[in-house]
Amino acid sequence: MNELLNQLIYESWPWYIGGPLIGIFAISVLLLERKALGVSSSFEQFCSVALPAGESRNFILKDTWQIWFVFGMVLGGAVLFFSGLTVDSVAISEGAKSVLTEQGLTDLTGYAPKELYTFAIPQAIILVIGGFVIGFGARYAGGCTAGHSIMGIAQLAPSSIISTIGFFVGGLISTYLIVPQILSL
Amino acid sequence: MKYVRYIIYGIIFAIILIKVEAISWFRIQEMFLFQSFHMYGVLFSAIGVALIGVQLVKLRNKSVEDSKKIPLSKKELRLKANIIGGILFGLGWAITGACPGPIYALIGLNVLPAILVLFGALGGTYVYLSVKSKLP
Repeated sequence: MNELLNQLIYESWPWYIGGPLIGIFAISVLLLERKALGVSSSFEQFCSVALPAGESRNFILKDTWQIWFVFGMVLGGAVLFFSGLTVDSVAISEGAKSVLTEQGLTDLTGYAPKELYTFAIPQAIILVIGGFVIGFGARYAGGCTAGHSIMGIAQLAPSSIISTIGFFVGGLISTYLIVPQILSL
Repeated sequence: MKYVRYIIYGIIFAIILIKVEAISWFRIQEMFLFQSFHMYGVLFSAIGVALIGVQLVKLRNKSVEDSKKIPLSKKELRLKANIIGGILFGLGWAITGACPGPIYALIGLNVLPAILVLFGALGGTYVYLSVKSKLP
């Protein structure tokens, strides 16, 4: 029992623990707050500060719970970081390691590759552009992986199923055509 | 006080996503390269549990008066927007290895260049809000 507890505290979780917890979490928020889990609306709420006062701004600011929610998400990351309860390397498969190494990555430690996650040019520009299409795409599609792929598909919403297929089509295009170019920079 | 609750939810959600490594660029690449079941397991089991929960909520909603019903609303189907927006999102997701939730969690994890992704996402959202009446 102690061993299991230690493992859960100090190590990463297998999918069959983390995945169901995400589902339980989404339903808990629904029951406790009568709100559907979602993250990308927070982008609109931050942006609405810069929008002219009017109907669309009022519509976006009708419910700003996500602003507090995403602030909590930053805090959650900080809690794990400062308590040292993070892992040095993510346990990806040998197959994934060899593909990424072949594409030019030399450092596979951390949660994100230091060779891409840097303030150096051109990587910094790539991160901004990547973020730009995430923000534009998520709001255009009406949600992201949380709102569409989890809460939306759980309701069998056609818009969420189609959007999620889109997420994967875009992801595959990037992974096979764009990421190898970026890693070879 | 409800803000404190929302912050606590965020902390919990970030911890789950980090512990299951769903916030990791390496895991997202591994998923799209079909090199492990891990992320598919995370997604499918999360959806499965949420789906059962939603069905239970629906059953409960049938037997209680309107004021006590838990609101469930599907996002409106907008075919072109869902497809084009979805693909654009996916392009960025695989490049940065982060969807919106993980962007915030990564900043907390002291992966500071994730701030660049957040700035980009806010820029993309702002442009979307400015042009959305002209989009298909």
